[in-house]
Amino acid sequence: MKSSSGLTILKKIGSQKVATVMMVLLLMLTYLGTLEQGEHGLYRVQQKYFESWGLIHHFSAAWWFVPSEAFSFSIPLPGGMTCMIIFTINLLVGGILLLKLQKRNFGIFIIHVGIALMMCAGLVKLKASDEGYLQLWESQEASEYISHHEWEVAVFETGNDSVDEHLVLFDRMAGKSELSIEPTTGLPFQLKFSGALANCRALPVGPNWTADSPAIDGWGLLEQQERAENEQNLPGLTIDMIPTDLADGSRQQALLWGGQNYPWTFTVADKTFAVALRKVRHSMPFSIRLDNFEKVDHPGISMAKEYRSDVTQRTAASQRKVRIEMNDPLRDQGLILFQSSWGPSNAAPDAELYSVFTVVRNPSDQWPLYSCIVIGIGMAITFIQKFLAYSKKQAKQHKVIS
Amino acid sequence: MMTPRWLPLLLLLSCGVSAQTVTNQPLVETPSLSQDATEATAASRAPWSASTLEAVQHWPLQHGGRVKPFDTYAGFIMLKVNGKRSLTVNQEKLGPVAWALDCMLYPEIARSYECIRVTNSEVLTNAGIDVSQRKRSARWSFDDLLPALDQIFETAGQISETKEASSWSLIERQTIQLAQNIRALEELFHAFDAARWTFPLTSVPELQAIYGTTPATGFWPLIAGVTQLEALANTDALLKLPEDRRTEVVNALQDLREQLVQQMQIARQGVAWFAPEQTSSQEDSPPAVWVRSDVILQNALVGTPVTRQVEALKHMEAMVAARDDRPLLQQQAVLVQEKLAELADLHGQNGRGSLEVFFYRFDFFYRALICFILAFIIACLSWLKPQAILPSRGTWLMCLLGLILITTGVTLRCIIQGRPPVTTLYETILFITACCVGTSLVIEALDRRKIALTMATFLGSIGCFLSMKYELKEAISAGDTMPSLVAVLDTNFWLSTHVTSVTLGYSAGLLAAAIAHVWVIGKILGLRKNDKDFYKSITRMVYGTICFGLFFSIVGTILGGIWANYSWGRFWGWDPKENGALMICLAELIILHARMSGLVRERGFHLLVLVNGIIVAFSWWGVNLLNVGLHSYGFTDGIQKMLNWFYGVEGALIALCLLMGWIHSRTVSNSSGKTHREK
Repeated sequence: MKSSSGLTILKKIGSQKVATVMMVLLLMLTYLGTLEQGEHGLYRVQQKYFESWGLIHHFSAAWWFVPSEAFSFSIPLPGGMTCMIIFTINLLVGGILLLKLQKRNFGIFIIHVGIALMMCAGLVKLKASDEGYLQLWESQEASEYISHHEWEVAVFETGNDSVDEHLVLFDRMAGKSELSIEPTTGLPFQLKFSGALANCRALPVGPNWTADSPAIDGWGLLEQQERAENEQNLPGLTIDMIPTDLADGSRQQALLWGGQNYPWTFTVADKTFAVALRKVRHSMPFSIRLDNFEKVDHPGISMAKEYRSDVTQRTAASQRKVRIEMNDPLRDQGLILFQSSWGPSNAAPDAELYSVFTVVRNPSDQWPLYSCIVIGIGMAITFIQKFLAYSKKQAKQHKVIS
Repeated sequence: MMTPRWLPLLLLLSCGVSAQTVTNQPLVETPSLSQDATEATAASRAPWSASTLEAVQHWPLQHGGRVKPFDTYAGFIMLKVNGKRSLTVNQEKLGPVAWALDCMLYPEIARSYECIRVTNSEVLTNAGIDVSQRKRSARWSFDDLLPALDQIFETAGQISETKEASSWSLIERQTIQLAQNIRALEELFHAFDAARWTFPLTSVPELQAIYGTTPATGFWPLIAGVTQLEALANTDALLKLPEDRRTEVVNALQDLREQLVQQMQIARQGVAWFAPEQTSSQEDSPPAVWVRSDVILQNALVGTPVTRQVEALKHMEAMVAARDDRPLLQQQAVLVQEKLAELADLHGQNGRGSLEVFFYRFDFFYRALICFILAFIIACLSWLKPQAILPSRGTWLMCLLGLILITTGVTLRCIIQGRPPVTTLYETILFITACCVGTSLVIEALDRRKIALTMATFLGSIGCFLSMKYELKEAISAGDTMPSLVAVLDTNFWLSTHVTSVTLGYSAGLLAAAIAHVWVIGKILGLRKNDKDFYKSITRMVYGTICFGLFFSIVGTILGGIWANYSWGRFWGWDPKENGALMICLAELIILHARMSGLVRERGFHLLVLVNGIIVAFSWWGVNLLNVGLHSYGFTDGIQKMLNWFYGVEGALIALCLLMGWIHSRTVSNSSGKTHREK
């Protein structure tokens, strides 16, 4: 009896109706998320619609006979993450586990396995990958890449390369009025962060405006509306440094802003420390040196036909020459380096250019390719079967008519 | 290697040329055209011979990043400016090459051709032109617009400098397009200015000694006497002259220099006719950049070997000088073709020119449109007498002919470009049309109810018509339907797999929706009420087409993700175009699952297929209107209105069919209740 009710529940979970409902919801989310990209940018839309558990969507339509205020309302919707998880469970249960394998549905079984593999690839990518960029001029070398979107506060002792950096992700401050970082090994002080702003400008405080953040040395942080292109947002915050032992130094306060070129420095216990608000840096197990960058334009016009970088990949033990170009990345030790762009965009025709690589660490890098092959095979089997059956039926029908 | 003696003159030339910048000012005030205009006495010219046009249309040139024949270049400029590839002037029908030759060789006559298409007269009203005597959309001549040129260019310049392109109003966009069209026309008018120009080569006896008393016009005589001119302009030689002669000669050289700089500036904005003489054997060497006559002159001055280029230039200038002598002009036109082709052959870039000329001359897609329209008419007539075999065969024949034409056209485009069939939005229309017609014919071969056959004629006509309309848009925006591709698209493997698969998916989705219309409209109008087999047959066709579409949509979408993973480092980026493809996959999966799970029956199935058609239209065109994302390489201005109409009509049809279904189910339940009560 118990197993029978369990099976009934499993059947409900794996039913085609649940699959249909989930796909309808995913279709809606995709459509709404696509439309909203024009206004809010890809990064925020991605977080709101496709990587969330739930969301509130605000409908507002301005038709030529209905004012937008008259036709606006908000509805709660499950987020993309929720829908995809339920859909994947439904697929695993109904499309693989409970599917009775027969000759006629063998193709469908394979398709479901392929889709499940692809969903897993997406989940692994979301949870276990990171991405950034590496910008190099010719002869320049680097062994770390910079995140596109994530910010961190880095604390380190100046003039001492052996001291580890202490890092605090800016995301930890989101939605909090204050965040306290207790003294860690090697740091003789405590840090308190407050007034975190997602996008702001550091400006001298004047008669026309007063900053919500404390004005320090005549400067304050002016909050700006968040830009649709997340890369253009520059965060800021106020930082308080409290020495563990007040005999080592006095309490100090400063503003940190994403657009500043130099870190804030202070002295505690006769040591000088620096604090910087910067994009998160990821280190690579090798370094990359740009030997030569070449951009070839279509003849007579300024549109790039191709661009490529000749680099030297160095590890402690070896080095090798590699060419990275569009559609031909460098893959090694779990990292992939893609030729993504170049700059400066306004450079004169013969001026030296820098090369920009997108660097990705993705454990499920090749899984979509495998899933594509599996799905393709499954669909080919299914549709050939159906087409043959249809042709047979039609031929039979024509025979009867004739 | 440049000789130091020639340095002063060369430096002056170089400075003058490099100081030239592209502005929004009209070129009309340049003296060469004014000279022509004042000297012009002939109000007409002799007609062009077929052999002259034949020679000129094959002239190779480099434009928009690729080598193309003059016929293509002239065709797209004419399409951009005039809105079509023909113009009737004084009962003479001019094609692109004849029109362009008139503009280049007889600018004083071509200025009066009413060939500038202005779709909204408000643009001209704003520039101060009286439009009361013309229609809102009309063609104007260059002379008509001449008084307002400054105003038009100033307004266009202000708009482009102060506003983002995405925020331009319709009238602003049209103003900018008009300015661009006038500029394109001016470039033709001034293309042979230097060749027409009489340089002051006889102003002093020293120059006469080099060039004679009646030197020819253009750059070529200068190049021919460059060694002697160099000797004359040499500082030591000048110092040896008596003082009074020296001043006169220096003044004459300065006058020559000024006029040279001016003509080189104009030539620099013209057409790149001449392939470089130097070739590179290195594999990674960049593609050869073709040059204009100003560069030949500069190279001749610094002693770079330009023998072949000079030879081509000589014949080109001789042709211009012989414009009223038709036999001589024809002879020179042929020689120019030969010389330009020889230069192009040095780089292996002249091989496909003739094929391209043939492609545009034959006009495959227009002929295919005629076939499909004829097929559609025959198909409609055949429905009046369904048993008749002849109309059915006629429809098949015309349809197959149309399909062959469109497929041949697409194939020729692939050969010319060296690319797979789909690289631009324009090509998606052609490919989708061919796929829809081909798939319909396969369905018809299996089903034989003439439904798919009629659909093939209808979709073929619509597709060819749309392609012709959109070609005009591409002419305005890109100046070509075979443009150079951005670096990421420069891969034939992914273009032939991902793009082709996704486009096949679009075709199937649209074809399924088109066939589903027969079911929906049939039910709404109550046609063949008792012929259940007819409707079942349609359902089978739609189902099969959706399955076919789903296969290509899913495989194509995943392949796109894999390509993105190779190019940009991520499989999926939620880019609008990617989302559009995903939406098609989801919609088609929903249709199949909803049908299998019993959530929808026949009516619901067909209505969902119509919704899928809307989604395909959104994915194909709609997402490009959002102006965001990495796939925004399609110019879709003006499409929004058409797309809104499509959404509206389809929405109304779906609502009406739902309403009819609801009324039908109420009637059935009422009548069954009544029967039950009576029992």
